[in-house]
Amino acid sequence: MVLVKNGQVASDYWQHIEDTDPLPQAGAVTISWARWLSERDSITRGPSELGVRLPNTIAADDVGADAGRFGLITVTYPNIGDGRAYSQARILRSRAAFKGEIRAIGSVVRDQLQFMQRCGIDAFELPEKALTEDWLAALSEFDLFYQPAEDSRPWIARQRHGRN
Amino acid sequence: MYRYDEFDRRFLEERVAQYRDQVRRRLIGQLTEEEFRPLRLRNGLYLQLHAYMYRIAIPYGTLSPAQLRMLAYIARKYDRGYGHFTTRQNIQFNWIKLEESPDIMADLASVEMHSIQTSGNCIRNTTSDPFAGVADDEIEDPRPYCEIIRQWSTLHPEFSWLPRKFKIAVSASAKDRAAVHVHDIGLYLVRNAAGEVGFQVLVGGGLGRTPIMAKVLRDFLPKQDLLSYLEAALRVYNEYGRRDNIYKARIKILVQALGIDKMRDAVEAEWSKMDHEPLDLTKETIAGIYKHFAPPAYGKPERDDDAVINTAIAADKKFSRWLKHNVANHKQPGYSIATVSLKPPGKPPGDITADQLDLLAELSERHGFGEVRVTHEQNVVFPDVRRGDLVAFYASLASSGLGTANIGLASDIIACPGLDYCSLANARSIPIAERLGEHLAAREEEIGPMKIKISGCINACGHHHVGHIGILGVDKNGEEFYQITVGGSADELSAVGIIVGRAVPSDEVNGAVDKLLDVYLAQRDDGEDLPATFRRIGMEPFKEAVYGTR
Amino acid sequence: MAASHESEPNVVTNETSHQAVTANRLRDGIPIYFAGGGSWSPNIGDSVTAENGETLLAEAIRGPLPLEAVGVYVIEVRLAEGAVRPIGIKEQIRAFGPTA
Ligand code: SF4
Repeated sequence: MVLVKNGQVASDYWQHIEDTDPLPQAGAVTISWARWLSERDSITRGPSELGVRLPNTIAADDVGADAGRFGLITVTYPNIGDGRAYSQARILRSRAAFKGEIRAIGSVVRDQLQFMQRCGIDAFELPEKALTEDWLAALSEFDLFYQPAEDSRPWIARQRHGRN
Repeated sequence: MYRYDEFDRRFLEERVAQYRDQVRRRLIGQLTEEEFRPLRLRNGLYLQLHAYMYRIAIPYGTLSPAQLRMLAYIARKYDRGYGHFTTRQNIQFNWIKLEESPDIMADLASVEMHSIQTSGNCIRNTTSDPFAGVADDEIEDPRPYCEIIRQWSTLHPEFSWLPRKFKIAVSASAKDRAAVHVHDIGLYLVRNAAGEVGFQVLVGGGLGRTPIMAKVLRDFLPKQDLLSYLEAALRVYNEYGRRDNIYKARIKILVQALGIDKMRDAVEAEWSKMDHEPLDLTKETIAGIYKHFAPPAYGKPERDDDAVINTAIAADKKFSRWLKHNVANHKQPGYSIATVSLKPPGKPPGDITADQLDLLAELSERHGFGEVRVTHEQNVVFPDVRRGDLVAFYASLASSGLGTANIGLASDIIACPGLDYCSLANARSIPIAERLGEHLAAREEEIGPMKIKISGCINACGHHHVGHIGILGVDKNGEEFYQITVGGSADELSAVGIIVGRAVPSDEVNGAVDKLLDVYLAQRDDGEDLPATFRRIGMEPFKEAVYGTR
Repeated sequence: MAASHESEPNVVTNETSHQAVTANRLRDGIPIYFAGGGSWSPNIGDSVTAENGETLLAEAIRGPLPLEAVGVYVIEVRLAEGAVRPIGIKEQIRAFGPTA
């Protein structure tokens, strides 16, 4: 597994804690969304040490005001065809105003990376072959876009009118 | 028509380069078939029985002469000299090689065409009224909105991996020529009480295994809100549409499960939470697209137009028949809308040869302003033929086998490719259509308006559910059988046809259809089409005619 | 697909009932048939056939599945006067082309 963040290979300092395991005293951890719901009142970590793993069946609006408690939210792709996490990521960025890391996990496919990035996902867990097969080139395959999204890149209808 | 600017051109170059690399990775084994399939599908490439099939989008059906000639070139260079127009204003080529497909895509890009999102679970080609811009009963030209939707939906980052495919159609006339009711989202341009033009939004129509007519999601949507509202609806679908069962994944099933009122609440709630501003269609955006669709420089009617036509009518029965069936009123005096039939009896419906494509290109320059439209009924419309030119236009068509005078009649059959090409098929469609068309041609004048539609399987690409008479291929222990429905209709009174009885073998199709038509002819009131007669007299007489009394 | 044949007793009830293995060729999509020894042919006449197609299938996809063969599956065939003829209209159309 390779972690790519903001277009670069990065090391993963987050520990992903199973529901059956206790939370370590210190350090950055992610927990499941279900655990967050049941233990939220007893969890005192700050956002730099707390992340949550969001299933793709949860409405992203439910994260709502809690978003500020997290430094990392993972969204999941069970397979190439299941695109629910795109909407979740956009809602987290646009409505929950989430500024932390949104990381795509699961079946993360080269040819979807740019879609994910445009939806506000800034980190990806990729298979090892991503490096030898130059997956990161996919992040710049397009530099023109027909619609606004959660990245700050210009889009064509605006560019036509000389605005960015 | 819409012309690409620098942005559109560069965008498409980027897409071609991306696809070329995807094909390269597949051919060297970096991508498995499972990984590659969704990628090629999103570029219109299917693997069928004999080869790859390539589906090219014809946005809202409009083609220029250069585009027609490019399609002819592709037919000759990469295929076997012919293509097939589909029921969604696309064209398909049947004999394509994967290794050549990136070159085809590059060739298409050179004439501002592509195959993006002609397949896969994403937003498909937006379709429209083939008479758009020239119909005499239109509120406003729907094409600019189709183009706006085309651009917005192209590689949409959020909606490219939906539960299932998503089809949008836009129409602006009281007479629905775009089968709006069978689309996932249907848009009618309408005028509200205050006289403003906006959209009535329909949702949840579709054929296939569960045919359902669309329901009204919103009575009036201001133009400015078109994209933000679509985005809200698509988001609700992306989040809540079923993904556990491909037969229940279309938005129609979500609408059915929630009920239209809850669906509306969900869309409105999402819409109210969204930031609309980036998607608002400003007046300048709309105007910028609109100017591509400005009416051409029409000439004044010639004084002797009618004399020329009347002489030809008197002299040539075939011309007068063609005039009656294939020519419609234009909003501009002195002009007509002429439909070229791709249904010569005995030939595959919707097929067109490279030579015919070239001829249409030439004719569109000679008789019009260099534009044709393909229809969801698999014919080709010439939107701006001078009335005085109709005689010459017809003569050119007739000499090339394109003069069939049957638009809207019994032999103007819609048919999908069926088992002769399609890997999903249960039974053949084309031979059935060929034999039935030939058989009915002799009496179609007497029958009058008649929609016969044939699909080779329940996916219903041939729209059989909404045929006045629908024919569906089914498989019974490896044998081809055909299930027949009556009473369907795809117009503004849309209805799903009802099954008459047990499926019949292929050699009994003509006879069964004859019997249904006999009942209709004997029982119809003046001006009634078959669905109207069916609504009035019910199934019994039809059933009895075909299967006898018990 | 082969289940009904596999469970039949080992008597020849229909002397011409056999199975073959088919796929589509990756680079151009045309139907191809397993011809034995790791090779595939666009000509159905080159097919190797067997009463039990599953064994053939296993042989065809042994090792890494050859890149050129997409969507491998077993079909029913008839051996008539030495020629291999697919059973069922779909496979006949695949093997011999559209009928219209
Ligand atoms: S209706 Fe069925 S047979 Fe016809 S083209 Fe569609 S999928 Fe193929």
